[in-house]
Amino acid sequence: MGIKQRAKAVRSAYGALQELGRDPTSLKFDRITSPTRAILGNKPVVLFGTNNYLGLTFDQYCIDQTIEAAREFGVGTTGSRIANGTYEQHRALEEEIAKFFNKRAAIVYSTGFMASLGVISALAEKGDHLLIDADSHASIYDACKLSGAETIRFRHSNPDDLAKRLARLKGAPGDKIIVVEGIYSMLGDTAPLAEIAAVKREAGDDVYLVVDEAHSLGVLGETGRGKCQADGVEADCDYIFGTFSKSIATTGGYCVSDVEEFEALRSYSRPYMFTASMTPPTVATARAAFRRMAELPELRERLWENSTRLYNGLAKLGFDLGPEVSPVVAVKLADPQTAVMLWNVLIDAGVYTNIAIPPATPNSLSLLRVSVSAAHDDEQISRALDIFAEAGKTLGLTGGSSSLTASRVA
Amino acid sequence: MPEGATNVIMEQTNEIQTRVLDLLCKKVGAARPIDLDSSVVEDTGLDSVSVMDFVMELEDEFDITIPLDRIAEIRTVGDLADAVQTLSQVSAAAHGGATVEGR
Repeated sequence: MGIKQRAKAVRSAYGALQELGRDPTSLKFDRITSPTRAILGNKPVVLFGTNNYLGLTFDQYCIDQTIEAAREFGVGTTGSRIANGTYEQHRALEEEIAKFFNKRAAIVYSTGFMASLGVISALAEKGDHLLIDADSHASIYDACKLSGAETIRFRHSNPDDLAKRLARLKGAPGDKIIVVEGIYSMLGDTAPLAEIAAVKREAGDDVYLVVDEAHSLGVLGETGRGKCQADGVEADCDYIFGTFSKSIATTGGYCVSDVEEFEALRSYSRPYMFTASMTPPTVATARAAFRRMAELPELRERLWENSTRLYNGLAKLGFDLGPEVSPVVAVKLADPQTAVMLWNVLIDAGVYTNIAIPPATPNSLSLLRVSVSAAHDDEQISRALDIFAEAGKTLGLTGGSSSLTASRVA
Repeated sequence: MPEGATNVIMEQTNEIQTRVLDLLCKKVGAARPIDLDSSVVEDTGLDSVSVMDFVMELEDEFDITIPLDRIAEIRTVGDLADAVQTLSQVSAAAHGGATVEGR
């Protein structure tokens, strides 16, 4: 298919949805004024569609450290990690992350996508087998392609299905590498990591477990190390990677491991080698945000209080939600048209959410991805629930029996 | 190849084609008539993720492994049945079972 045909296919798939109001693919914020507030088309909105789980994007310490780094070390490195792009600060960030995770070493990448691409494509090659959760992020699918390894999907968060697929590979030469996520980004559900780790342990020495904690870093686990920590299976997780673009409030990615040869990846992980390194200001933000995350465990508590309140509130209104309370609350809708209509009505009323439609969603679901931050206050959540109640009634999506605090819309 | 072996392959091919078609028709529904020449994507109305989900069903139905790069090469339902046939033979050989490949 050529570029013209592709453009035509996109128009025919999404053109009708764009006509329902705003174009979800080209939304522009005029201003962002806090972790939870923005101006969108001259209209103030409360942000319920970010990945700002700990709300650190406007943290004063992070801002000060970032500005200072720009003044002291410049705004960019203009080079890759293996050339002129490794500064003392990159190494310090890696050492701090390794210490935080209590792992032998950490490698930092320029984005989370690059970390996913760089780690998986370096761990597996032709002749190896990647077993990935069916609902894996696009970066994991792309990483598998880049690796050249045989890639097999197993049913989402289903350890028995994984075991069955591993059994089919018994005796086949090559490493078997399982890839799962801590929290899945669309429905907010968590992986049954203890059971998956047990399957891995029983499957043999040539089986490895890789966990993407992009959405669970700072969110799960006693000190915020993610689902591996929450489930007490960090020793079974051979490679843990993630991003700085959510709880850590900037851009960049990381991988940690106890595997002795891990750091050899620096010499053959192409997305590490052939892209400019993190800029000094982003490195400084990441280091500051890791410090703030450790200093302020109450942010995680607040995040879960807010998540519970929003999830239970939306459930009470009669919306069909993702399977568990999570900072990502998925509102399932009948079709893409309904999702786009609700999304537009909510923005009109001052609530911004993310829209997700097939094929970017599992099981052809159309949904609004409503995400929670530790920075949301009680009033913002009350207001969002009121607006959802009203929109649900207006569009005939819920029974309409709302008993929520209707007066607090200000 | 002896004539008997050729017949065995043909019978297996027909049986695999029928089973693949039956499963796909069940998934797609009666509104879209499907045959071996149908395109797995354009004629079924399935998106890329649904096609991959269907391949998981085939893996379980035939107890085989169909890697993702193999799916990328498949265009028609007939191609899909051929892939299942080939991979079933590979699987049988790997597990020490009888193989219909010429020796």
